Amino acid sequence: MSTLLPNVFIVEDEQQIREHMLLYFEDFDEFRVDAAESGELALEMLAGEPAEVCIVDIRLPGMDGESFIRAAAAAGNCRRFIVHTGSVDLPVSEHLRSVGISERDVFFKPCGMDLILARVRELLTELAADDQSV
Amino acid sequence: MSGSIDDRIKRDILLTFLVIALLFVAVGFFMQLRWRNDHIDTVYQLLDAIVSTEQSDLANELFERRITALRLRLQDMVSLQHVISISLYDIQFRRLVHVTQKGAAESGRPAPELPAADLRAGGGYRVAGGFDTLFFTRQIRAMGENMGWLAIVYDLSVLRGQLRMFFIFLSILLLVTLLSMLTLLRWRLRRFVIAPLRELGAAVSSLEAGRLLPLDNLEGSGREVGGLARTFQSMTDRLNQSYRRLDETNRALRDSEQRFKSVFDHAPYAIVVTSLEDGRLLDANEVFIRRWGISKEPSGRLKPDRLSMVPPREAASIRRAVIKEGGVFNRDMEILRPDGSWEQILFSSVPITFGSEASMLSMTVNVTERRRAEDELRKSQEKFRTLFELSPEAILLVHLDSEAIHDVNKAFTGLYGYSREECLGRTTLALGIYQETAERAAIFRRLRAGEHLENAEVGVRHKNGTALICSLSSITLTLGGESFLLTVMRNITETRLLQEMMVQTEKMVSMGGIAAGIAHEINNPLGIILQAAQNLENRTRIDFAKNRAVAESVGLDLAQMNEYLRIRKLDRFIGDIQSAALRAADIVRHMLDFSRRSDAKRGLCDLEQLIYQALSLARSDYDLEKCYDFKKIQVDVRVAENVPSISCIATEIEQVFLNLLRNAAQAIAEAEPPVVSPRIDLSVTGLSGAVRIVIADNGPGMTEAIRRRIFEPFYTTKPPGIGTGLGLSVSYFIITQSHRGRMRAESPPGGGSRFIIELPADSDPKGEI
Repeated sequence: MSTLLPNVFIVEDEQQIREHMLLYFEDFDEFRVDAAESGELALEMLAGEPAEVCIVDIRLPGMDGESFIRAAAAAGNCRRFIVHTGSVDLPVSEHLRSVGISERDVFFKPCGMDLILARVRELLTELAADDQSV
Repeated sequence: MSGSIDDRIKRDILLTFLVIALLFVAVGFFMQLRWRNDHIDTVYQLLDAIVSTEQSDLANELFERRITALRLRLQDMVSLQHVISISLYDIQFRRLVHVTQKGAAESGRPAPELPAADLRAGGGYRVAGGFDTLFFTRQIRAMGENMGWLAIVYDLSVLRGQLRMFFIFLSILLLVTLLSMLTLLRWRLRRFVIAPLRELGAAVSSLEAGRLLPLDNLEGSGREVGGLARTFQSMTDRLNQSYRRLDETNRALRDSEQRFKSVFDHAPYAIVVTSLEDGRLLDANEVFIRRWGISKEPSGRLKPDRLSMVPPREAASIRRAVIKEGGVFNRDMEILRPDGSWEQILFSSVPITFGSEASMLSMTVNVTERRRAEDELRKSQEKFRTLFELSPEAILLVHLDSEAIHDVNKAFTGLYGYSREECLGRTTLALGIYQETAERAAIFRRLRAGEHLENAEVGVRHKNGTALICSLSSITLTLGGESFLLTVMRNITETRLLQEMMVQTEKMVSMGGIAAGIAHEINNPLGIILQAAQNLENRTRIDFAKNRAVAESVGLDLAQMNEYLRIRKLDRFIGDIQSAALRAADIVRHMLDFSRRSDAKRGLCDLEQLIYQALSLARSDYDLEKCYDFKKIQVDVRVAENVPSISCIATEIEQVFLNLLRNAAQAIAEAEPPVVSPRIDLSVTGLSGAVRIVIADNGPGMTEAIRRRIFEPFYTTKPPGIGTGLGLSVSYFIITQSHRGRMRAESPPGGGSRFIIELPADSDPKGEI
């Protein structure tokens, strides 16, 4: 695995979904992919290795998805976030907006992973563009 | 006329006698006077002749104043019978000689002196002392020369005695004559007049006892009285007959009077006779007396004799009417009772003559109770008429036997569209009010059996054919001896719709609650299924280096495996898993719509714009769903002017429109045979306080069974997999719950379907239609 590949991190308590997503993203050989089953664990893991994009479930045991996003954003452990929720209706809160999340970053389960993949690629392109402009 | 005939006859006789006596006296007096005068005249002529014979001797002796001669001569003369004295006077009236008859002087009566005045009167005679004495004077003339006067006093007492005797004789004669006449007259009178008259009188007076006249006694009393008696007799007969008739008449009259008096007194109405002139009470019957607290004296006088029961103006008007129009008949009046209360009466009065007084006979009937009852009845009728007319429920009165409509109220005409005139006399069958004639027949059967109907639900039809549901209550009642059906119909079509709507809503809300609870739990497994399928698909791809590497390591030809998967349709199976998972997810999402309290902002709705947006979305559906071709459908949008503005959640309303357009298009596409020129009409019109949106298609329409269930969740007519059965439910939910509007489906007999949405306008304060 090339260390140049962008890091995508999945926070998902549902083990099968977490695995399927890991497998799915790994197959494309475009990312380094890792996953955690809770927000707390994810923050720990990201502390050593920050991610470009985090795909976060909102309903999590312990720390919820939104708190994780705020904490990760504040710690600078993750640059962009995608919400992948089992809820049916999720208005984008001000906090989430403040870390750059828009309606386009919200995906409702069940959702084709190809759609999430497309959004991840978009975000990474944006980040790359940002990096170059800096 | 006083005094008896006897008295009057006596008086008349007396008067006659008086006249006769007066005549006697007058004639006697006249004769006496003549006789005396004749006698005196004779005496005078005798004396004058004596003096004439002696005149020349006397004149000579006087001239020669031979007194003695004169005396002698005078004495000769005085010897003449009845001469009392003779005197001779010269021209100076000196008495020269005076001689007196001897006997005269001796008789004691002095010879009366001739008064000097007689001499100066120049001759003649004078009677003095009654008829006692005659004074005679005469001039003694010679050669035409006055020589002196001779005066003779002549005694008339003999004459006087003769006269007296004559008078006495006459008087006696008169008396005798009169007395004999009187006696005769009285006797005759008594015999022939008075006595018969008395008898007649007695006989007539005996008539009172009713006896016949005793005429026999009167036969001898002369023709006149006898005739009179006979006349009396016949008169008596006639009188007797008259009396009998009079008695009978009187008796009849008395009976009649008693009868009428009894009728008058005991008449059950107050009857009063009042004076036309001053309104005094002249008579009143017992009812009147009792009612007005009047007392009646034995003489018949009433106390008080005046009542102020009628206001003066009214009383004057009645009097006028009685005098000029011959009476007042059954006039409605209000009178003041003695206790101060007012009484309603029916008043009649006619003019009569009571005794000799112009009066009016008035009769009053107390109709206070009747008027009150009538008033109550009228009020009651009015009340019931008003209730009948203003009742919001349709009321219908039907003749039970003929089944003809007797009356309908306004609500009825409003409910069914028939005018009252169209209804009256016809039957509900003829009007076609009942949808099912069998149902109508059953109703009549039950009512005729004496049952009551309460809130029976029947299908009815408006004049224009619109089907309605009515709650019908009916009873039989008897009016004027005839049986009627009183039927009250309440239009519960709307209520039924509302009930249906509420049931729908209830179902949806409860389903939404369940969906919300399980959505998360279902979505996760669905996510696993979907993602597993995706991974399955990914891991059979040839273009993935990892797949190739693993395949090589196990000696698998990926291309061959893919060929196998394709031939054995495993790829399709994977696709099926994915689409099924997505479909399930879609259902869950729709179910969640029912529970969602949308935070989406309400804003002013541009309905027209929303319609066009929905149209464009529907057209883009074409590619996704192959079942219908929206582009072939003629879509007509009409938006009326002056549509009230409404506020709504634009995305929701757009979703409703889209659902309805899709349904319409699908219905058209499914039509068998195909619809020749498919079309969808959308119209937006303003109602008072609301906006109505109608989406109508000319597809095959719906059966009543489908229409009733059309908004039910999961109810669908589409093939499995095409529809979720939630599109219309969600639409219904959005309209009724989220927007407090109404939504209903119709399938007119001409075909096609109509969906009608009514949304409350902004100005509606309650936010409800």
